[in-house]
Amino acid sequence: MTNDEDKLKTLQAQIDALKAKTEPAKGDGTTADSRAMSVGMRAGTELVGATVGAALIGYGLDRWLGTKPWLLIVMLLLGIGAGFLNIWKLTQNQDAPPSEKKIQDN
Amino acid sequence: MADPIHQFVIQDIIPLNIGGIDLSFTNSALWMVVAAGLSTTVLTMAMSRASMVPGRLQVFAESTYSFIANMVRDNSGHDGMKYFPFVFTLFSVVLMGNMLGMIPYSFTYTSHLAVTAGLAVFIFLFVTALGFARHGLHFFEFFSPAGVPLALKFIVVPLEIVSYLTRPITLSMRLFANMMAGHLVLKVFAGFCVSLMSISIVASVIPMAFNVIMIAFEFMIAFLQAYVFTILTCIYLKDALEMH
Repeated sequence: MTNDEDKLKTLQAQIDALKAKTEPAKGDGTTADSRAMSVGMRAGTELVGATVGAALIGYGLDRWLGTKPWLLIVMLLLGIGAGFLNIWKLTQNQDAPPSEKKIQDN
Repeated sequence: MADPIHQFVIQDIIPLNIGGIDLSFTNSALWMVVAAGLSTTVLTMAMSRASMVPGRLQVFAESTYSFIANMVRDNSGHDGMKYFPFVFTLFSVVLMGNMLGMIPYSFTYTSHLAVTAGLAVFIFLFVTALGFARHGLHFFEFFSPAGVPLALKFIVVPLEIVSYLTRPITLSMRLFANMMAGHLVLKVFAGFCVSLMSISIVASVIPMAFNVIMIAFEFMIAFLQAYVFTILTCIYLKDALEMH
């Protein structure tokens, strides 16, 4: 048992030594990068998606209720508004979650 | 020239028609089975001989687990961890669909709106049901954020409702459009490469070089779209659990 623990300790030491060698060059950019990329990816589609989606709902309701073209127009305007609301919300939630804050502090 | 749309055609492998409903086993279904089988086998194999000092496969499985676990904890809170298996499954379905699609001659099932919309509508209904189960009719207060003056409420509430209702559309469209567009671009440039060959081999190197870059880019998109899809599910879960 103690033998195993010794082995683990030396392994941990080896890992730490290797980490110290490679980590400073690499840093912890990967999660932060993919977070930033995903926000960028979302921003475009949030706006387009909400607009197109709302227009589709409006068009469908128009066909169903026979109120062409009023619901389409109303829903399209609401959709554009909702798209901007989505983007505004996206920019408000930009404080990093706790687990990443720790990394940034270090 | 090769038809760039052809890669998205659904082909029957085993035609099956039960009671007038087309239940054929298609190429799309085949790759879904491959995705489910592969992810289950790899993860089971990786953890079957779990040891204190992990091998490569075990590190892969464990880091995938902790990646998703952290994502759920950060984005939907501690309550959200109950739905971790759901989120993890979703991530593997989307990631596998995107990644397997990068294999030549395979089929990208996430490039079909029917698949992504199916997932998105399921998430939407699940999250909405969860919200009503948790908060009852108070869930409607979600559409009326606190601290908004009464005069603005007439604008904000309809916008919030539309924004909520279009969630499944944005969620499914983003994944489907990204996957479809990426694969189209790859095919179109591969086509350029072939047709330029008749002019000169040197000229055809340009679209090929572009395609090499695009393939690397597509791998990144494949991962990123799975990531975005899952993170949004987590955010929607949080909205249902905590209401802002």
